[in-house]
Amino acid sequence: MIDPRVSVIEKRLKDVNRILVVSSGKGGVGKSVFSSSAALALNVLGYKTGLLDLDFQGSSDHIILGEGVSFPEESMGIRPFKLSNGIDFVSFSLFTGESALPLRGVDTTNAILELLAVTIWDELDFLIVDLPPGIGEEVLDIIRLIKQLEFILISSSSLISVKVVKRLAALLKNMNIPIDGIVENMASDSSSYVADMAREYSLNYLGTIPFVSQLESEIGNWRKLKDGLFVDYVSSVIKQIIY
Amino acid sequence: MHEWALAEAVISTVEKNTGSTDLSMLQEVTVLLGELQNIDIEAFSKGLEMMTKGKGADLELFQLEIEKAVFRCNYCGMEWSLDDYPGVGEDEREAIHFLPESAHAYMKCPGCGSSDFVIKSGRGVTIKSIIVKDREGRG
Repeated sequence: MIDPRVSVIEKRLKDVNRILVVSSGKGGVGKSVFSSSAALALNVLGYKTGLLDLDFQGSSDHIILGEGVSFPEESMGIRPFKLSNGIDFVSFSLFTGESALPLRGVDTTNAILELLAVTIWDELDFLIVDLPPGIGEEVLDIIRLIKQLEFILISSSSLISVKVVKRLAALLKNMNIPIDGIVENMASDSSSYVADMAREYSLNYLGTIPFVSQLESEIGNWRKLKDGLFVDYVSSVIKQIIY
Repeated sequence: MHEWALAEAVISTVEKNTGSTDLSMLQEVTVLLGELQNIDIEAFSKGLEMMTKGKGADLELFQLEIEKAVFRCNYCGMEWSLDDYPGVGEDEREAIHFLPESAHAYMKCPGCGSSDFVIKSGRGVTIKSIIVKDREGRG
């Protein structure tokens, strides 16, 4: 048996200039809020931007941005859902809404393959990919299936987070996967673990995002989020990567 | 129709495996269409026709076989088919058509009610075989 899907994935992404993969290894460090905010920041800067939520079991980018999503259009394949701000958006939630989606490893790989094989991305300057925590199928499959990608690592200031993110950094380094750098999110003044890790692994330290107390009130409304402090911080990080 | 994207994947894979975009050397390509994905055969065939245009391949060499969908519960071990399943709504069928893994959100083991099951067969589109003609043009 031959799986035909692998052969067209590069073609589906041929009009995407840069693919930025937001990953951590550790859960709860703000990957999805960062990913959604990065897409907003790039959109505000005038770039054609896509957002691909590959966190199947915890998909939340649509919740963060506050857009009601529905089945995407079909035209020679699946067309990304166009958010009202122009961001091209793909998530499993387009198909399953808020239903629980219990997937084992092989199902996750199949879902990633299918999404990448049938989604026809328009010309994009940037595609942000939001990955779930861990170094399982999502990380390994995206590395296997997409040749030109760059990782942005996210960690909180906690030693617990840093120790776990180190494992992902080591894996990516061993596989010669480009890493744009590491972002310290929900940062605490007293910790230097993330900066120390950046030095240890020769990673760009892309900056610090403090705990932004008003962020929760902006969740679910992309217009408020776009004008808020958190996106300001994310924009500063993104500018270091794109310029 | 997203069948076109899957048909394109099949032709692209055939070309990669035979090392040529000249498809006149093909004798037979057998494609399995998983019952779960409920592919529109007419749309899929149109996609194949479009993708093979001018490449020397006769559409009739593509054998399309429906593969029965079989599920096995990881919790109680029960196996079932779509025929045994009490029914999935129209929107849910549409989601499964786009992404067969959506079945995990909408189906449960008819025996014990668990959502933890395996799609044993009949998931989506796979290529069963590619047969190329020999130098004399025979299969």
